[in-house]
Amino acid sequence: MDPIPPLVAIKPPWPSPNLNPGVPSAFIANWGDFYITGVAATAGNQRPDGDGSFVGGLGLGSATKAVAVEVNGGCGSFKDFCGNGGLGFRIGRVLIKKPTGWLAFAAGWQNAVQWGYEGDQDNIYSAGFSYAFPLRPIKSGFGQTLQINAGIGNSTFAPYSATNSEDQIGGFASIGVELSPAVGLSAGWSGRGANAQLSYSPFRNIPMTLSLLGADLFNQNPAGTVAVFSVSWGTNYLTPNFP
Amino acid sequence: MPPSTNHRSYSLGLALAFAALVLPLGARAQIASPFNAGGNSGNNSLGSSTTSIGTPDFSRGPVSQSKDVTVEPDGSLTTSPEKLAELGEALRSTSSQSQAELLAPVVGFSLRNQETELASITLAQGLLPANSNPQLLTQTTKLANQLVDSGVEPLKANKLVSLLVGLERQPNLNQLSDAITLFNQVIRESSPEILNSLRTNSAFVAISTALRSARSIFGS
Repeated sequence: MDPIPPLVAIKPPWPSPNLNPGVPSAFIANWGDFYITGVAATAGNQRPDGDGSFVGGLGLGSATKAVAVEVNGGCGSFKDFCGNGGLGFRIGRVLIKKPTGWLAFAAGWQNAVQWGYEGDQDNIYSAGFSYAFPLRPIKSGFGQTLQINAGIGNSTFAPYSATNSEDQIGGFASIGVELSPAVGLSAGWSGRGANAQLSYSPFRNIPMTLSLLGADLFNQNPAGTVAVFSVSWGTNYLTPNFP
Repeated sequence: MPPSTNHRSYSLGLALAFAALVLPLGARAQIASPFNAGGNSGNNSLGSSTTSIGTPDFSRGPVSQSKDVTVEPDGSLTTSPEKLAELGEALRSTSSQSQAELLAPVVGFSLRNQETELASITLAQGLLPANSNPQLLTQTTKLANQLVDSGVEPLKANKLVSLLVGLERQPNLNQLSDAITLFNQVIRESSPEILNSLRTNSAFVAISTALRSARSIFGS
């Protein structure tokens, strides 16, 4: 005897579009999460040609049960055959997890380990909160997430300084909203300049996100305004579909 | 080495590690690689923030499998008044007179308005309202017992039958959807022996015919 075709089905949700325009989210990778992101940037005032880089990472622990630790790393320049790069760590905790909204805190240490010929880079520390909540009823199948990130950090999170950048402290903040289950628009202050981003998740069952970021829109830094295109793949290997 | 010396070395190590983590190490370079392009646009301080991991998902919900059925923001399933009228017709037009006699008093049962909300909650729990019509109680008990005789779990049998009560007079398709879901669950979870028995069970065949007829009026 055959089953009856159901009127509705619970399908895996679209991978969330990226709502973090060059600003760190406090929702970090947990145990089972892994990701890789390829980035390509246009030429800027300090770089005559375009270039690319990548970053990958994985999560340990659980940010909802205790704390999660994210280990990430990558190379700084495809053009230079990854002659420089580094590793970073982030630690995070989800403080509130309700159907009406999630609140999380995370702190990060970038360049904890580094290699390459470009010399020592700043140790970059940051800490911040992220709050995300649905604008629409979840049962509609499209919760329409709105996410706010805010925090502080040093070095690249602070306004540009030609010397002693590691001691400079600055704040960052952003706001992003899902326009559809697969499209997100966000804007914010990276600590160093104003950014805006359009993000798109093209496939429901493939955890891929494409993002186009306009960085330093008001040309406030020596590097100048650049466009950054990124392709990211982030999923949880403990589940067959994107969570 | 005495324990106290060990303890001092351990403390010193911790203090150095803390200092290395927290204290600035002096001015260092800010390179102009894509890692830092535009200031934090592609660097690893963002980590998973560039991926879907960095944004919680609030979009888990039912997706309509028919162009005629809409999932409303509150999760209820709606259709046009014309389709609702067709639904009543489809539920009444079972394939045989005996099937119609079995189901008609159940699916055509009308709850009084003031009882509707309480009854809906009670029905969703697989029970009938305490003040149900005696004829309805007799009919639903008869149907459920027939399913149990073929090996269906009593709780599922009662709930499936209760989901049929008043089905042709519903303002939306929630109850029909729940009935189809439970019917499919019974099929999936029953052993081959129980399924064989259900194929010749007049109550189950009548329910199957009615639900398939109701589902057929909604396209894919």
